[in-house]
Amino acid sequence: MQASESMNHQHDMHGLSSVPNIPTPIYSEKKLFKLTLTSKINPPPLSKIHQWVLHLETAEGKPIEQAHVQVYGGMPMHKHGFPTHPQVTQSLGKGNYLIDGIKFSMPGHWEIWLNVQVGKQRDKAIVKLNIS
Amino acid sequence: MKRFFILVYMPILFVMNASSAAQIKSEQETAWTESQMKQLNYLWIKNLAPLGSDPSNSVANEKTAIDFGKKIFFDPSFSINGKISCSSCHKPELYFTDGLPRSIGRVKTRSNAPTLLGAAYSPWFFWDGRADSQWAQALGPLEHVAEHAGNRTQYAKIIWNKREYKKAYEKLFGPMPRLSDKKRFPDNAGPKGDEQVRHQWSQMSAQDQVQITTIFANLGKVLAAYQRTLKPEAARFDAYVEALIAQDSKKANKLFNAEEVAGLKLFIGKAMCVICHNGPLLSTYEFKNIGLPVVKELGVEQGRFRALREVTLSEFNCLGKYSSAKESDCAELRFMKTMRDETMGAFKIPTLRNVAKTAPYMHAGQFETLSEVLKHYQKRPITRVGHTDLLVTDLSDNDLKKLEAFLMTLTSQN
Repeated sequence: MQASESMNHQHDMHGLSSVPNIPTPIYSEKKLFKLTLTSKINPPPLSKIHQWVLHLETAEGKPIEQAHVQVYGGMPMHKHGFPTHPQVTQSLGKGNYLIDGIKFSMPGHWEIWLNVQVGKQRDKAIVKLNIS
Repeated sequence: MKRFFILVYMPILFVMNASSAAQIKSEQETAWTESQMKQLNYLWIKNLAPLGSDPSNSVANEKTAIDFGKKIFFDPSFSINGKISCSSCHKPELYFTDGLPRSIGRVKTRSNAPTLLGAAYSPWFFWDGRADSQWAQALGPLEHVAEHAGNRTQYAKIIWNKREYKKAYEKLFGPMPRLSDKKRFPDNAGPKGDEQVRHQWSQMSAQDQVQITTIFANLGKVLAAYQRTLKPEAARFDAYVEALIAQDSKKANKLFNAEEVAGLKLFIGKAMCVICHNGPLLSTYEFKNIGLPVVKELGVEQGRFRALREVTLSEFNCLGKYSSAKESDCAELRFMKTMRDETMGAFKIPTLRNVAKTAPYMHAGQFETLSEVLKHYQKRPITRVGHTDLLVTDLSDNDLKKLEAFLMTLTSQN
């Protein structure tokens, strides 16, 4: 699964409506970075810790090797975070980073928040997902 | 004559209209949307996945371990006074609880005994999650001074001296050391317990301590193997969901009355219970602070926050030497949430399966009845420590009655 930035769709309180996950890279808020987030298990499992791969590029499409990435997230509609503390555990090269510790404890709308720092440049991105 | 007919039939027509209107209303009240059906399906026990392996416990699914663990579970000799078994507080006839606010082992403990049905599905054990496997959990009460209050060499020797136990043990784990050597292995030694027990332990060689602790850990592993077999069966709620999925409204209407349907709608809707009580076992097994009343004898409890250090340092955790797991198998421990804000005062979300039969409630039995529990959610009191995870809901007294009616449908035969 790849993730989409857009979520302009109607949903019920528990987030079980269908929100498409468009396999397009997203831009960070200040448009400094281009990110593609891919679950290593497709579709992402429920109630099981698993890994994702973040592919990080400059806005012009050049892979970024030396980034510091913090990962948070949760279900904003339910006002709770991830049940775990996900982290980037490995730089895989060519702008790819392994994120481990992602766990979705229930179906619905989840967000993965990425704080990216490259040198003195900082930006953040929010990836919205519908997990079912 | 014509007028007579009109006079006679008008009330009949009126009655028919009222009746069909009531029927439509009733159908609306019991109807479920596609989105709601998805949620109900996710709560259905039929969707409880088979229990996976436990990489930290190499005998988790072994029949010999299950049978051996069951015998130990009910054997009171694994205690300081020969009177306390696991089943003293986890009674099968009470859905593996004991009906007490706080359990009584050697003395009164700090905790309410949670049900063991389905417990193996949780990644964390004890109310504060200070153990990260069911086998590590099983070891806690065995040597806790308030519970079984025994010690490691005592337990190893019970196995060594009972032919049936020794045979099962050696089949699973290989030969035991010569425990008859009292010089090397005192009768009562362990790192916990009274001063004499700890002193005897300190006199043992490090190698012998490891040998005994390995036997002790294996004792936990066979107990876990047995407890993994304890799962809740389908309840009336599950039969109702099954009937809805089969689109058998006649059967569904027989299974659930209007109040129970309304309660279930609140449960997955306005009351937002499913935010924590989700999945076929009706728990996400996370830790939440719901601002429970402080039990005077226990003081203000830090819950999960305090347990983080304990589970990290435990010699019996997933990454420890008594675990058979690889580092990559220990993701729950490696990526556990440690933020103070999200762990302070938090306790594990319990299953709601058989909740009507497992009173009293909460980690220290703070509430005697389900209606008291529901009142707490309605009031949403201020916490004494940390912040509350309870969301603002607008539940009326009538809503609470409906929710309680629904909770009564979660009872299974065992």
